[in-house]
Amino acid sequence: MTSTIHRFLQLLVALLLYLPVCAHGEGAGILLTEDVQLKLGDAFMAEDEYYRAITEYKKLIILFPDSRKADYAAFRIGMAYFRGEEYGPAARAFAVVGARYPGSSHAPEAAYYEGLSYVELHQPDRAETAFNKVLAAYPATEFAGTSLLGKSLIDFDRKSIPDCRSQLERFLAEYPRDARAGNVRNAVTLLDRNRELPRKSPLAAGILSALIPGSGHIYAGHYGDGITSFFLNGLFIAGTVVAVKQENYAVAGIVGTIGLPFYIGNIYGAANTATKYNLGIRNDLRGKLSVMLDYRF
Amino acid sequence: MPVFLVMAASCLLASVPKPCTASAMKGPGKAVHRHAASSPDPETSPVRILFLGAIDFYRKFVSPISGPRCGFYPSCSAFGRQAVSEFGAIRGVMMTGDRLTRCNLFKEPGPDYLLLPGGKLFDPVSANTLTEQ
Repeated sequence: MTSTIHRFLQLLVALLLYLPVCAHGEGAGILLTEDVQLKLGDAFMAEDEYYRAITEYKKLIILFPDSRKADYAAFRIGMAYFRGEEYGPAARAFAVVGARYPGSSHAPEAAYYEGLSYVELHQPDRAETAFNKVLAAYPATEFAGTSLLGKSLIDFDRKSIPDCRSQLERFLAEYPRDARAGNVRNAVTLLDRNRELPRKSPLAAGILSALIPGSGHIYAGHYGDGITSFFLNGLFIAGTVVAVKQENYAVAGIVGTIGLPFYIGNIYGAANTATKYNLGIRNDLRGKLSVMLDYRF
Repeated sequence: MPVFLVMAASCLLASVPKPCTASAMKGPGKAVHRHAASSPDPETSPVRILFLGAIDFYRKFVSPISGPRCGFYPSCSAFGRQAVSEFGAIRGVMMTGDRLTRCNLFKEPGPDYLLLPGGKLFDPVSANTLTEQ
């Protein structure tokens, strides 16, 4: 009887000693699952701590390579780079999603963002390739239509308004029920109204200013600069001519030498003013197009 | 249970904050090749040196007499110096001549010149390179 009580007491003491250990262990430890790992990555992303988020997502892929959430982690790696404005690594990370997980629900978005990354890197050809990939592989997704809008802006930036328009036409043909179809229709109308953008020829402006200083500026719409250039160069030319007529060649040389940069600058400036005029018209239309499409980069 | 029992601290320790940079990534900075402090590539063209010397002389000894009066940013002398440095003597002088002509009473803020907080008009060298970019 005594031994039974003894054994019972021993068991009780052992149990009491064990329980706090278990309780303590459960409180301090974390069962590292895919969800926990993803939560860590997402938490860092929410805090804009992109570098640390990438580490956590990579850990998920390393620890759980067969996870069904590995594609999401790979996509989020790309997004972290993209939001961190590291567009080169972002494009590579998004490409990995398409290559390793082509059937993933994140693959279309990854391919689209790959294109956007190349846009940010000023590599329109590669951006277009990525957008084409979205259109070819995932035509039924919302990113296909958005990729068409991206392609249209790329074509606009290449100064090809007809190609830009044809991308928008394609959007209307393939996605007529898309919520953005109305905007796209308006954008097509805008492009039709501006098929031939008003242009000022830099060459003509330069020639005009060479013949009559300042006239090129006036041709390009900068009247104040034209008047200034006309009188400034007129004074230098008149001073040089008068000095030559008076056989005061030293003065003529000095005045002519000082006036020469202004004369050449007047030609250069007229051509530059015409160039800026063309650029302004184009940028204005680009801005309107972006607003109308509610899409920009 | 075939699971990993890992302490949460180990996860966090693995991502101990490292010296951060000001970049959007908020991670360790990229390896930057540092060079000993020295001046940029020395000018070798005698014509360019002549023009840059003249502009420097003006900036150091003539311009301070009446103080900063140019309505543009960068100022005409700074513009000229940059233009000659970047585009050579001939094109740089042409650009400077153009800039001096444009620095007149008629200049005003608009699509060509952005008004800066200090009241000056922004007209960088890069906006006057004859390229539609």
